[in-house]
Amino acid sequence: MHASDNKDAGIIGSINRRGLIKTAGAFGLALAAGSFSLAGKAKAAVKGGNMKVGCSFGQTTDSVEPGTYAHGFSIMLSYTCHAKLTVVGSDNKLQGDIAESWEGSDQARKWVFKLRSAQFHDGSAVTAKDVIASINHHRGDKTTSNSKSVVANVKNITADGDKTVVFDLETGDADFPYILTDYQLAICKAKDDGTIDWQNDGSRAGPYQLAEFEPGVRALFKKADNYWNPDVGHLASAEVLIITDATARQNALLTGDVDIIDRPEIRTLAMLQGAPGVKVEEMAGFRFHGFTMFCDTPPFDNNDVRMALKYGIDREAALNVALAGHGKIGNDHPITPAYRFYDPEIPQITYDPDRAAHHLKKAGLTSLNVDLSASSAAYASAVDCSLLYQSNLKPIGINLNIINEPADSYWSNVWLKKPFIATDWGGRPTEDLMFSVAFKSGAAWNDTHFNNPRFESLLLSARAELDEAKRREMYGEMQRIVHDEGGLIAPILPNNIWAYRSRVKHAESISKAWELDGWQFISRWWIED
Amino acid sequence: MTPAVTRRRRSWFSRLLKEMRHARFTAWFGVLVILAYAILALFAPQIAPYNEATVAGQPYMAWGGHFLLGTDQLGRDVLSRLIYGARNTVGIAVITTCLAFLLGGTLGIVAALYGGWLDQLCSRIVDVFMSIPSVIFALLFLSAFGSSIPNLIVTLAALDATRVFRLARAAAGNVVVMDFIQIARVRGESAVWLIRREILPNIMAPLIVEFGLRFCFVFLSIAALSFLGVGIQPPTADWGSMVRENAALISYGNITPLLPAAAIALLTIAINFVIDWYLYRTSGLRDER
Amino acid sequence: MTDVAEVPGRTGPGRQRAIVPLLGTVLQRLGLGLVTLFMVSIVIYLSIEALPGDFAQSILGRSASPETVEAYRQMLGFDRPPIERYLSWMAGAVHGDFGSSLTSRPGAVRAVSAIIGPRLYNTFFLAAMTAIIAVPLAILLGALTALYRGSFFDRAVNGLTLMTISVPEFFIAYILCYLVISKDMFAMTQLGQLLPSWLSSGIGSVLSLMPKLPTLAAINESTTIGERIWKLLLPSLTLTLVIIAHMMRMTRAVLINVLASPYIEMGRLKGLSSAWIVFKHALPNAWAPIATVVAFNLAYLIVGVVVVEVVFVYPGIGQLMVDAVRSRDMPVVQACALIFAATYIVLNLVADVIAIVTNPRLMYSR
Repeated sequence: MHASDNKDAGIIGSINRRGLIKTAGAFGLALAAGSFSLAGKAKAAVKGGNMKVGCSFGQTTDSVEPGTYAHGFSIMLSYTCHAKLTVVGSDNKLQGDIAESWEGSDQARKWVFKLRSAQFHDGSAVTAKDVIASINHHRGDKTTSNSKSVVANVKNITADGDKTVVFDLETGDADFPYILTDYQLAICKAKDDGTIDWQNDGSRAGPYQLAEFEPGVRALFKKADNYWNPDVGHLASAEVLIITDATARQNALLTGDVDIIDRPEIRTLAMLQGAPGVKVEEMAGFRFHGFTMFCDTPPFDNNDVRMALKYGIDREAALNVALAGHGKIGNDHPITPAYRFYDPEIPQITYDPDRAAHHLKKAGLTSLNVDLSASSAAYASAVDCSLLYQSNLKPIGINLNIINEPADSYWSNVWLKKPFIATDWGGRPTEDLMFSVAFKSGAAWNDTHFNNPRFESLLLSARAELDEAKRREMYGEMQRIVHDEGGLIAPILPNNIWAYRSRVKHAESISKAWELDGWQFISRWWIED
Repeated sequence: MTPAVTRRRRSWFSRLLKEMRHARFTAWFGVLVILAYAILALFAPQIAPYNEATVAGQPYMAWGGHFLLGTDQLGRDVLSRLIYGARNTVGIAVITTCLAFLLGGTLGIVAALYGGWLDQLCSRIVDVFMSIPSVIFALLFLSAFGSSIPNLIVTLAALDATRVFRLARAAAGNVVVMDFIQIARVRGESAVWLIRREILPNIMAPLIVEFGLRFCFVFLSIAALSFLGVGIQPPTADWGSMVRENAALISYGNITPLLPAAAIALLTIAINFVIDWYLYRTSGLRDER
Repeated sequence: MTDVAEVPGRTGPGRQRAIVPLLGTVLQRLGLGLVTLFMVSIVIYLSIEALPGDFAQSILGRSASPETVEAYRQMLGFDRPPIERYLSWMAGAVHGDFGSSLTSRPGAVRAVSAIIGPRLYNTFFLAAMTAIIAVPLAILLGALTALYRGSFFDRAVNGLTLMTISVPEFFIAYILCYLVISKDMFAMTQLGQLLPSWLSSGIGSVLSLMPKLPTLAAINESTTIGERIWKLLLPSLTLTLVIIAHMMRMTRAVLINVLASPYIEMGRLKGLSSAWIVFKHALPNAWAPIATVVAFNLAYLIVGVVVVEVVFVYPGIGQLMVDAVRSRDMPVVQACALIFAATYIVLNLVADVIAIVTNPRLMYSR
């Protein structure tokens, strides 16, 4: 995802957002860094009431076909009105949703899921056949689903009676139950031909019904009375309005026309915080802003040049320029502190002109001219950050030539095509997915052309490892390798931010995936006047 | 500089001075404001305390001290950006409007003068482009080719040129049927002579009015395009984008975003005051009231 | 179109004869309009094709794998050559069938007409509501400023309207929203504290008398007409401020021109009052240019209000078209573009007819 704090987020942001959010696809598994909590004691949830939501995402092209779910609005729609096999709870722990229990065997190559007695909105029971059809929707040559790569490891799915589903995987994957929390892997009712019915609300099984939906304009959710878990879903209804303009969204919250908004304008956050009756919350996430270099293209094929560039950016200043301080500084590997296996022991790279000059000298250079492609399409302040980078690099003897690329074609013509660019990654739900998608040699989105034999073998063995301590060690070593040798410069880790009126309440601990309790706030939060 | 040129200049200048002595207060005000903007635009690097892109302080610093008008969301000096904004915004507007008038005006007059297939061809093309909403057209073009300043100028100039064409053609159409044009044609005067000596002077009034309005609309077009994300890219300072960048502040009663808006408004009013005065002088109503 | 010819005050034998050539002009212009529409559809088609990326890429996003994009393209029929796709769309469009949005799926067709219909209604509603306020107000102000030209009133109205056109429309909208937000707490906002306390408390008490207008014009099928008007007050006020200056200034300029004519001088010598002269004698002779500028602004109200729609979250057709351009949803873009072009052509034709009818000399030229 990019453009979260995009001041132009107006309408231009939305298409780019759509592009990246899936990449951003971090479905919250983060268990590492303590749970998010608010001051005050948890109170019992109040039932009933209507919540009005101002959502920054949403286009007229939005569809309720699960394979097209891509941005914040459709993620919220998915978690509000669809059930999955598994779900990440408010406590950031994996829970069963349609699945009551599960078990892995054969070095994590075989997974057996037992289903609970849940119902679709039309009252019919959820069976193994529906689950298989729902996962198969994303498999096969003809599928147009973005989750094809997510379930590519699935070799075969079989039913064992009405209430048991067995997955056979190509290679062992200890994270498989987490993957099934994906917002695209929604459970829909199967039709006779083995395809799913995704159009009718009766074929969905989530905590809320989608009562009215006008793509790009609004959606109305009403409580489903037959969702299996009575502890989920406090509101009687929720109305979501798509408000793409950040200022309009903020105004609607200030006037009380909506109760809750995502992505408030970051520059005026302090003022929003000061407004009466308004609460602002922010939380570290999986996302990072930065720059990528092709590790096999001169001059970046020399690791000393890469290190010189890594030591050449003032991260604190970049954080201020890009996010007005609403984030953390990054350490040039993709695993942010929100991941389970984040390694806090890796030394932080800082702005050190002497050390950068030393690396440059080691590479046999006294000065260097490089082109950097940037655009507000990467992230709102990418060009501003690049300018800062340029001034940081000047004393080191590196002359950065910034090319301001057209925003509309940035991800199609610049990303993966030019050797040194500004980038934005939303992160992935698991360390394995993040590394497999963007750092594995030969992977389609390996945007640093990274190729390290030790890294490759660790990636394979860590995936099938069921012992948590060993996995932690392996993922830690992989983070170190990317940190020391990779082509990624990740100076900024943005926070997820949202704001609401004080009548909105939520539990003490909330999910870390994306914003707003992993976009599950409609089914988990409540209103108390 | 030859003496002849100097003399001509002085006489032009002294005529202006003489004219100004009789001018109204509004005209005086307009001329002074335009002059001030011109000076700011020409000498921006000398006048501005900081560079337009320099992050000189903390974000949103208060007025006074080192930063007379405070700093913006990145900590850049607002005053400096306003001054550089004069250079960029007015520069872009001047180039765009001149291009539009050169292209649209010339084609319009030629079409009116010659008529026939040339007129038909130009008119049909202009019809097509005028019936596509300009914001959408600019969005299409700038999305395809990137929103660099030259692209922005070309797009806006082309769109404006269609409007200018219509006006110039209509105005010139009324003139070319006059007797004195027919006589000049019979006399064998060249087209260039006809346009310069007979047509242009007679259609100057509506063209000047249009020039003033088009000039000011360029700022607004850039602001609207910034709203859609294809305006002038950072860190170039321009008033339209500055209004957009700081617009969220207005909800809290902060007046920073009013500054670039006021800069645009002041220039618009000044230009239109001068044009009003020009019209007043050339119309028959001079001595009334 | 014929009732346009029945402008009050114009009777006599000339009128009968005038209708025939007028009809000819209208038909000829409508024919040309069709040619223009056809060319617009080609230009739009080519522009969308020229944009980087296509619908499959834009809907699936950056993270889509090449095979998925290819599968999606197959489903959309993008394997056919562009000319063939254009022609088949054209064949439908000629029969009034604008096809279905590319978001359609097998078994879940989203017809373009079904998507555009309600939005078009919304757009026309807002345009009509604004026009009802803005057009009479602009002409009245134009006439009054022409009547009292040079006075303080003239200068004040001129300066104020110039200010409103020189401010970007989204900014006018934000300022109006600010007034609503700060209604009951103006003195506490930064602007309120900057002003002297008597002034800010004065403004504050004026603001608190104002009703709490909604800053969101979010509407749906169940919105009643009264509710709709209430919610559209701020958007139409914004648009009124945006368009009023242009129409007012044109009215004023034209009237001042007419007032210099000898027959007005005559009326003055006869001792008629200034107001009588302006409204009874000058205005009827100034309709042509006023109609042109009003048509221009009405067209703007329909085709150019995307920014206002976005700020007030109003589901109009402008936002739909920008969305469709972004996602390369060709059938929707085409339909929107044709609607806009047709609006423009028809409004211009109406303006020209008014010009011809009010000035018979124009009827026989050319």
